[in-house]
Amino acid sequence: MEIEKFQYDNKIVKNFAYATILWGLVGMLVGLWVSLQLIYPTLNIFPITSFGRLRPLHTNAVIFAFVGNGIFMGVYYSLQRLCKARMFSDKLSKIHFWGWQLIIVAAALTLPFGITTGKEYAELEWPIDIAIAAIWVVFGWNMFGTILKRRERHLYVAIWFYIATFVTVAVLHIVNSIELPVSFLKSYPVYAGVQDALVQWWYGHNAVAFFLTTPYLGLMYYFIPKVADRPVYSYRLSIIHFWALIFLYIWAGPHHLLYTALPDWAQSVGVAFSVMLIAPSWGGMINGLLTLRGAWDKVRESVVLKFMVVAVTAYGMATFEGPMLSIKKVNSIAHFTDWIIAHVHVGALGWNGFLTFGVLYWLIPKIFRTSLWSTKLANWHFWLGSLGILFYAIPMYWAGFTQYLMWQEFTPAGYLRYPNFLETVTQLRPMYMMRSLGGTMYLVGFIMMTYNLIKTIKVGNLLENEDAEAPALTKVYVGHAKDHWHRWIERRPIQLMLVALVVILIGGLVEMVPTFLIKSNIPTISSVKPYSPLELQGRDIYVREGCYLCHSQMVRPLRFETERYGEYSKAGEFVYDHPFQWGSKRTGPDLARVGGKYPNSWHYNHMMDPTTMSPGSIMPTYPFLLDNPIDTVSTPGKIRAMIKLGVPYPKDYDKIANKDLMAQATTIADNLKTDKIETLNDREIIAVIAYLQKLGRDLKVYHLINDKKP
Amino acid sequence: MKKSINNKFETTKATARKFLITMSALLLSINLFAQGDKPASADGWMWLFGNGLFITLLGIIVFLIIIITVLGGVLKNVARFTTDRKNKNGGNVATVIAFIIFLSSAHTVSAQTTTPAVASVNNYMGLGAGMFFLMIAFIVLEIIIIWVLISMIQSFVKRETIVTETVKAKKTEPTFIDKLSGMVPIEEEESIMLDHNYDGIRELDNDLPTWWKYGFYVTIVFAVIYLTIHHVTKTSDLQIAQYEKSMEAGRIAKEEFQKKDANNVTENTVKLYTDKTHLDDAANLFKDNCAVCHGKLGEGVVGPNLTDEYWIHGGSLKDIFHTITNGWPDKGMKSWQADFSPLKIDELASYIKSISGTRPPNGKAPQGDVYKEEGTAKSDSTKTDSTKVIAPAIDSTKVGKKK
Repeated sequence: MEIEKFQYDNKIVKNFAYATILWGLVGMLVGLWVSLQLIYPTLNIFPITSFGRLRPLHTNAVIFAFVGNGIFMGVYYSLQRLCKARMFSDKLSKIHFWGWQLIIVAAALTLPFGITTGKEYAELEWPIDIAIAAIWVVFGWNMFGTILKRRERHLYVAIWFYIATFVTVAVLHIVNSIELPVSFLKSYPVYAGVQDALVQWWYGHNAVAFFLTTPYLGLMYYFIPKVADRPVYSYRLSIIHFWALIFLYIWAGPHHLLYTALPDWAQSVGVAFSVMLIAPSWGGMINGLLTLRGAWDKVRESVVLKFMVVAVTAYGMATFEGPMLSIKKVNSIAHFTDWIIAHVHVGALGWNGFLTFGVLYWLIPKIFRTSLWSTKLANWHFWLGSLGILFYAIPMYWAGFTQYLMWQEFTPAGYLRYPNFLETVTQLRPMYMMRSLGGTMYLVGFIMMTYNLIKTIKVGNLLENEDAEAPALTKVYVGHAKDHWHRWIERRPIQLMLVALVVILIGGLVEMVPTFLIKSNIPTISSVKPYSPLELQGRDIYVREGCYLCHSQMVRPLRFETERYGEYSKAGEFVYDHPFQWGSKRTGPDLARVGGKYPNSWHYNHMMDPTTMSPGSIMPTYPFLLDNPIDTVSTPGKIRAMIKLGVPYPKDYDKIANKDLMAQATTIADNLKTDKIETLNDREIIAVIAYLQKLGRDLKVYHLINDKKP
Repeated sequence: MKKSINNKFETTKATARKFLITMSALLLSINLFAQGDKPASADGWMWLFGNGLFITLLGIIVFLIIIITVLGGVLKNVARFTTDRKNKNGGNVATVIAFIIFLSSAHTVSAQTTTPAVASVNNYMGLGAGMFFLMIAFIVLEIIIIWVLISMIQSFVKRETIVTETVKAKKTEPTFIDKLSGMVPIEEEESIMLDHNYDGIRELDNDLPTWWKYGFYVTIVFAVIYLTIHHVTKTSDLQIAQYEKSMEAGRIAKEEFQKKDANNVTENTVKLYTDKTHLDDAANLFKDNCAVCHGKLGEGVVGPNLTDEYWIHGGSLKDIFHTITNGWPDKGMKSWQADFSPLKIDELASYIKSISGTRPPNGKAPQGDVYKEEGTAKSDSTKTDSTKVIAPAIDSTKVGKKK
């Protein structure tokens, strides 16, 4: 057999490593900042730094910039070596790298300015969505190019995970981002209400599955055996847990919508499949930890392995907790509280963060042909980071429980013990402080690593092109008689991708198609009317300011919720909501029934400075809403877009929409005048008030009409 | 090497498998028989799932089956590790099977003969006696099987210990944990090493950990049962039914409490409090809840002035009580009955009466109609002025601040 000589591209790995570190720092700094805003609301300072605009920046930066670049770093390093081939095209590698960084910069330049779709973890507007799809295809092209010219007959399990990641993220991103552009930086999703919620959390949940989990499992399968110099524990287990994981994961999205207006059957399917996910998830943990069997003495010595062991353990904890949280009773406790924040941070800080650190500590000295500058400092990072996770997670679990217990407590006389929502928030302040302390420790550890790696890089020098050699693949493959049946597909990357695609499509289709096509899933309510032009503008401001990040619009059918907020939410109420705004966290109270609860003047004062109406409130102030004029130029375009999406406005309504808008605005301004508030009728505050007063109003109208009948 | 080990265990494994299959078939047949107990009616057998006792017993049966399955798996694994005793083991297993078959068939026969007679007579919580006894018998049988399985596992483990002690095998003894995980000891791992090498990474071919595999099965069984009881048999409540039950329970509890509560107040029994204790309490409630709209001194902000003689919805104690209790949502006044007990609302109404006529600074312009207290009530309310709690003068300018 002829031995071929070739070179691995280490430069692209280095670039992605640098980007991982840089964006990690940025993302975590923003995270720390928003956590402090919950303790000191004055830190909101400017409109562009208010909580509602910075939190999406934090989540996007950590998920897509830090972890995203971490994935690419690990994939570009391991894929070349597992395929015994250089990356397919240096040019594509370069386009991929710079394209991805530009997308991140675009995110950083739009999110703080309120340019957002209002869908969690998919906030970026349509031009950026298109760019993401294009760059993702470049990544896939480059990856498959490399796989196709490989010199290794079979694909190692890490590559199965990379392929599943590529194909599933593409499907998720495209389906969830189908939106109708209104202008260059504004669009509405084509889905509304319950359907939008289902698609969004199918996406949101599987962004966790296929962006934060499967690619990192791939990295785990490469780096842990590599660093520990031990064989992978069980090939059989890797086959079963891989296929079971990707098949089952995709079904679990509805567990984010338990006790909501989502049809019962979809909720139950979400519960059932989430519970079945425990074993496949743990298969990964078992294979990771048991690979270290016989190498635990190395774990004591190697800081890299220490990071990886904690990462895999955190993965195991988070993936056990996830299915438990999917059980409806448990979910009714945790949903909307800080418990969920604790849960995701065990995953993000523990699993993604620590695995990334482990890989960086191992990989940077390797490609720079030197040893780590200071193992001691790295050990300090390990302990500080671990403590940081504990200081973060434990107070958040505590906070979640505390708030739930306060929400649901009734007095013996049958009244809510804490009728004032704010009481249940101010109670959490000490926990929020502890959390910020934990976050600070974690961030300080990260900075220590950055310093350590810079020092290492200064000592070493990069081996840009690493020599390697391997025999070319023969045309004909002569298998062993006793080959495992799964070997067949391991030789066929395209078929592997197609089978993975089919496997991940099943769950999504079974859940979505009936929800979209069968009318009984979303019973209509006759009195629910489309938003008036003013309300629509107000809604867009609500989305722009990220109100949904702290306020839900979903009263669950639980006694303590309906006593506090009013009637539970019905599927038919949301049919004109592009996008839905149910929210996933209640730092403030639910708003689904806020319409008509307070006078206009209350909202006016409350937006200007929430503490005047709710002393002790930690909500940011919105004085700029009182000054900014409503963007009436956009009204006709928005109405036309809504008509296209099927909202039943009268024909040619776009031409007279602004007239209606001004008429309604004048009514509100006049009403404010009776409460001694003088304001121009074209200010954004008027639109926001109109929107807030609309929330829940249609259902009240329904009862007014229908309940009076004998 | 691997091959030879496999050969050694072949028979043992096969027997264990046979044992499990027989057992399942047996359980299944009894189950079918049990279902036949109730003559097929128009409802079929679905009615059973509405019966709490049946569900409980069925739950126990399923739980025990799961335990049996897990133990069976453990047994299979333990058997794998036992060397050079295959024939004897096989014999053992066979004996046990024979015993169980005998036991169960005897049971079936007796059940067949006795059930029909009893079924029509007795009734256990809506469950026919035949069905009841069958299910109980089933559970007993399961417990026996579990006991047998455990003793078999024990005997395997014990024998193995003896073997290793006497033979002094060169290999380290696999621990019970190893057996539960189906793990090949590190020293023997070359025997299951696959012949691939990916950039230096090799793969072992360890079996799926037993506990993991059966854990997976348990979650699948859970998922099936969960979907079945919610959407096929509909014996478990969905969220709206749950909600309605909890509301009903809450309403009953509330009524019970109010019956016992001497302080319960309605619009018709509302009374004016003039003593400091009650009014202080109300003043605090007012400050925390009402002041944002009505002003710290009741002078009116976004809500109307409460200290003048003009009232939009009536100014009698009864009217105020009604307004606080039910609210006037269209005017911006919410209902407070979910927040405060009737007694508290009575106190609040009394407090509002007590601040009438105090003329605080920045009073809001009058809204509504003049309300005059009738007769003696008037003098009552003036009397309260002497005991009136004067709310601390707090700067209220911040509240009404305009652009």
